[in-house]
Amino acid sequence: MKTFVLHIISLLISSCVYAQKPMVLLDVEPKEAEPGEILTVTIKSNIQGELDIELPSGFVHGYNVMNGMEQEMDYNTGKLITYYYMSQTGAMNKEGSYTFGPAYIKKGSKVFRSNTVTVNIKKQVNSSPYNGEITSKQLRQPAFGIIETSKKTIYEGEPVVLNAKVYAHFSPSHLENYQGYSIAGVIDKHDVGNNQRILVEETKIKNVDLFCFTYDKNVVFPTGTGKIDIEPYKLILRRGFESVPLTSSGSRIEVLPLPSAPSDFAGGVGSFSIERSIDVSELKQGEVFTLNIKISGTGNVHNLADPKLQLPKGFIVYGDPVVKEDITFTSKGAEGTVNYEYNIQVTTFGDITLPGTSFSYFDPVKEKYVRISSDDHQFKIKRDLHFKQDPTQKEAENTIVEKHEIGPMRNKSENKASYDLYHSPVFWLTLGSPWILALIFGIATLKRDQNQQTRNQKQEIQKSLEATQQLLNAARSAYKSGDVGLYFSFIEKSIQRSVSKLLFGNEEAQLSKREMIDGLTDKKIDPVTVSRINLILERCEHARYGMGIDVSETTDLTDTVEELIKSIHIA
Amino acid sequence: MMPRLYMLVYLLFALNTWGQNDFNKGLEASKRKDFETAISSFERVVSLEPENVAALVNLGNAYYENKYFGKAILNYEKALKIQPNDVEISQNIEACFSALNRQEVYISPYGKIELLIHRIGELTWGSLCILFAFISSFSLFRMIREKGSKRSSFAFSLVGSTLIMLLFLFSTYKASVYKRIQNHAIITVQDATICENEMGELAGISLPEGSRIEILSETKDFFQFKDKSGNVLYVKRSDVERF
Repeated sequence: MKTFVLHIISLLISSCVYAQKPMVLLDVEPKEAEPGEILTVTIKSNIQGELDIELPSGFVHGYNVMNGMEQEMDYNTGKLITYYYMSQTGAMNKEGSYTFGPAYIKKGSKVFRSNTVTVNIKKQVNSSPYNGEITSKQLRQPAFGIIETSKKTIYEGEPVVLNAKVYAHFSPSHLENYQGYSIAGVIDKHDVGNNQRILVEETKIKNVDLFCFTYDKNVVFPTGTGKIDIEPYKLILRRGFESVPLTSSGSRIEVLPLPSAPSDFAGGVGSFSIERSIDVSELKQGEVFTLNIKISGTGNVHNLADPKLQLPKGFIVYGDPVVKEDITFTSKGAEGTVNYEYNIQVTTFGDITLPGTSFSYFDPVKEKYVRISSDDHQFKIKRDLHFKQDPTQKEAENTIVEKHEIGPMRNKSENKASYDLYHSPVFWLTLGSPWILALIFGIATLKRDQNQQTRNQKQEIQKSLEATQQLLNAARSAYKSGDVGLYFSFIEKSIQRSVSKLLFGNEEAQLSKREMIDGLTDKKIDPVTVSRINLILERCEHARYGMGIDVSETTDLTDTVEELIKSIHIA
Repeated sequence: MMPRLYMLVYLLFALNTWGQNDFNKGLEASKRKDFETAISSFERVVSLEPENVAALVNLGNAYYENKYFGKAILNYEKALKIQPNDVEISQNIEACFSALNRQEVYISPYGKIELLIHRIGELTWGSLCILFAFISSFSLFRMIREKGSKRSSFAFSLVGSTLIMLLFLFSTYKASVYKRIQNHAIITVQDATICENEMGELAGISLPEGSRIEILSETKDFFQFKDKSGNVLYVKRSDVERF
């Protein structure tokens, strides 16, 4: 009995030791997210029962709910352990810190409780790099994604290939809830050989072993120019029941505007060729022929404008062309051919040349416009006398009508070297020099004339003085000989000549005593001099009228007169 | 001093020869109908000799052949600015209008008086101005010397000839300025988007290639101009080239 009890006890102890410990584990990924970002709530347990979970208010339930079970081997005991799991997606739309859980599993009368998980919801300010490069921060995450672009800089209209590239530290089994990348304003987007299955490859980045796969490959023809941001994609990566939601980093491409285009630019960016074929070369007036234009190439062939026909006068296009497109979208862009079939009637006759059809496109490799042209075609059109043109028919808008020709090339270089006459010192010097010379010569001549005049005046005065001196000498002789009458006559004459010269410029004027005295006063001659002259003239008058003046009674006045005459001349 | 002079002469000679080579290369390329090479050759000549009328005309012709009608008009306008009496150049512009489906006759951007002054040319105006400077200075000289009624008549002659000289001086100045002012521009793109303001707000209209505008003012990205109705509008600098 004692042994039996011991066995029972040991069995109970061993069953307690080896029995599965009840486990309820709650996990929410990611722990930090943006408002609206998908969160995955997973409850894992080794007991089966009624499940209840406390979710924070404001949790928006997603449609993705998964339930399942899996078995794992416990390598310590060698037993199989069954795990039950339930996963639910959802999102929090407001910023804040939220507590998920605990989750409860009720089995019979017992209730098992899980842990709680705190999740921070906050807006991230442009945290994802736009350069498409893998950062160290991304490498630390269990899984991350980037957007691969075939080119970082493209020209407007040039295709660019985009794809989502996902890296993970584990080998993902599948993905779900994929929300693709988006580009603002881009409408022209084409799927390039996407496959529903993902092909996981092993790779090494910065010495870290990773699993990677590409997804959602598209060729895109951006519209508009400038820097275009590609918004990140979102998805949930799964490995079994484990789920890792991820938001990729963004990317950015720069779209350059095309340089100024020639008039025949058809909007093509890439590499194109043109072929033109005509079914006949000889036809009759009024007949219709078919003209085929085939444009092939790679780039944005699907966006090319219809070719502009340059038709000679008398060629009429019937209706719109029949356009047949054979275009596929590849990683090189739109590839293929576009065929245009025109029906053209000839209403004229003679030997006519149909000029080649041409257009320009932009080659992004050469970074310049390339003009391509088909060959000219020669027509021999026979005249049909019975042909009458329908007056309602109109010639095509693009018919060549009286083309204005430009002048020929100029063979001789004509460089009109830039000179600025107005601002050149030579011009102003040439303009100013005659004025300066005129002033200099004018003033010099004026000065010379004045000098000449002064010299003449001086000569005349000298002459006058000499004549007066002769009279005075004669007066002296008369005085010595005692002829008083003659003496005073010479004295009076000498004064009269001098005063006459002063007043009228000549010595010959006959002046009375009164006239001489008044004239001298008017000339503002010193009054003392005038009164002295007056006295002498009075004495002369006395002598002339025979007042009986003897030589002995009079003194010689010649020196005084000489002095007075000099003072008059100086005046 | 002498080595420097030799160096300068050599440099000028080398530049001239270089320009000449490019000019000939451009001509040869045009003969081969390789207008792209012709454009680059003539562009080089014009960058060295901006007043080489023949190079400007040939460049315009090459652009015309390559269907860049806006650029062709621009170069013809530049050539006409230097040689305003060249009828062939204005006919070339009319050919460009025709190619752009504009049946128009070329009208100079200048007014009648401006055009007359410009056509007679700075050199002629300057020479006339100098001639009248001599006449007026002779009158001044005689006025200083002469007296009485002769002096009056020379004074009258001085005033008259000086006024005429000043008029010719003004014309010389105007003719000199026309060559240098670049207040016109040509639309060189197929359709230039027109904006209502400097912020780039679209006016909902566009100007076709080859249109000429008179620039009122300029900002970093735009040229301000007036349309035919007198509205002040803006066009992107990258869409036009001034002359």
